[in-house]
Amino acid sequence: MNKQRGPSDVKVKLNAERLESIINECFRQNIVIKDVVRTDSNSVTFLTPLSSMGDLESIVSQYGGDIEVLKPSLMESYRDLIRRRVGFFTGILVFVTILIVLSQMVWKIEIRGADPDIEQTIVAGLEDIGLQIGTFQFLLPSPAGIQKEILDKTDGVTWIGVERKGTAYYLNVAEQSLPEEKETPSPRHIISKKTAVVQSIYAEKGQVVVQENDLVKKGDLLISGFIGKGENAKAVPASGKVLGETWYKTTVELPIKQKVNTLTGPTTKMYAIQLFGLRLPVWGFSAKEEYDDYVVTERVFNPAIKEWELPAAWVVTTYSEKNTTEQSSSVQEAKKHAQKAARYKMKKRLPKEAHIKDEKILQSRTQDGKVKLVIHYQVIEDITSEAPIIQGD
Amino acid sequence: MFDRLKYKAKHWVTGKMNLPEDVLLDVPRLTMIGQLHLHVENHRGILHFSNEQVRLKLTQGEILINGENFVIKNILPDEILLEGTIVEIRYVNDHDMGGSHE
Repeated sequence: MNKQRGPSDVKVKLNAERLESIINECFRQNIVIKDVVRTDSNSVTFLTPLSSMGDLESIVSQYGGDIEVLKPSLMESYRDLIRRRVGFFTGILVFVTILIVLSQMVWKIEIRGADPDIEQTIVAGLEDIGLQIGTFQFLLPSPAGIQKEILDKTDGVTWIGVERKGTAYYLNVAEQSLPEEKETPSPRHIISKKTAVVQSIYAEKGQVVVQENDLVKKGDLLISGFIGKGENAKAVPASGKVLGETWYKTTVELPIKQKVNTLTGPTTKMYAIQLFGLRLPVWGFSAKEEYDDYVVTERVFNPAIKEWELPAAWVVTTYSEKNTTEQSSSVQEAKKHAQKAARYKMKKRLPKEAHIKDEKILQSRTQDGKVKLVIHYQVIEDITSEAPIIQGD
Repeated sequence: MFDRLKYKAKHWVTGKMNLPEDVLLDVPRLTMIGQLHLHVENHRGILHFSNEQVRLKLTQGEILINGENFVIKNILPDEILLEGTIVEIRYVNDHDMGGSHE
């Protein structure tokens, strides 16, 4: 038997002369009454569901008596509580709703095992389907559907596995490893790119027509694409490597006296808050006046959520004391510097495989506090270039 | 006369067929758990209810329950669960109770 008070049970006090008759009438009409206790000679208290209060009242009035509610039902009292704390309960409700809504969104898309370009096409394809960060999951097709669609849209992949874990989508990509397409180049000659002295020849295909230490000019034939003699002659794509010695002349100019900036050590810092581009210093106002000459370094700490930067930032400006001295070096040293600079300049100009064999200073002049050098370089580099054979058939 | 015959027939059937009497006869079935609970089935209404005494109407006669701190835990058209300290249960037949019928 249920001893507990139900959520809709109201505690009622009934005052009447003929209590027993009322109780009898109640259960005859199937009104549930529980926990009937006699309080005094003509009153009882009992529990009854809220829904049968109307019937009960009509019976009571019929028999002559009055009824009073001692305790409202739990349901009613909770309803009152909720009504009193509307803000709190709406807050809970809003929170739960937001939580549920946010948990239905896609927060992460991770593509694993794809090249950047394939990844790009996959991302574009996903956007077509509608899968991007911030969309609702229930608007999307199932992972299997996405998988099928994205697989149709993307070339160069054998398989894409789409997996959903909570709010994240993981795409495992298995790329197609096609056998590399071998170019079948058309027949060609190897010719010289520039004027040089041939150093070494290595012909993979074709007929070598020059010898080591030959001087070749730009456009000269190095390896011929025609092989065989007489009837067996045919044209092939010649290939090979011909290293040649080439020459370069560089001019550099460098002042003898050089300005050198050195930091002396002490620093002061200024802190500021930056709001919407407006900078408000909060500490170290006089940091700027501390030194005559200084180097300024600025670090901005800007909190950002994804790509969205907050308009507020913390700026730390560091002023470091600087000392500028003029360093005058000897002419000899200046020349050394200039030579180094020239070499650096050359290396930047030459292709990677090339190397400098020798260098010679052709001219060195000191004038107006400057050193001027003209240097001649001997460089070994690849001089091959391709020239197609146009066949008249 | 006819009622009496019917009653006798019922009595005979229950006796011969080994059926529980409360199934066929209109008599109450009382289940009591210590002094704490009394479960009465087949009653016909409450005649009196107070903390010390409960009187229930039956098809024939009435039942009188004496005790302390009575609470009617539950009441249904032919079932009642009484809680409290039960001291005495007594059947009161029609002829010795002077007719305070409802």
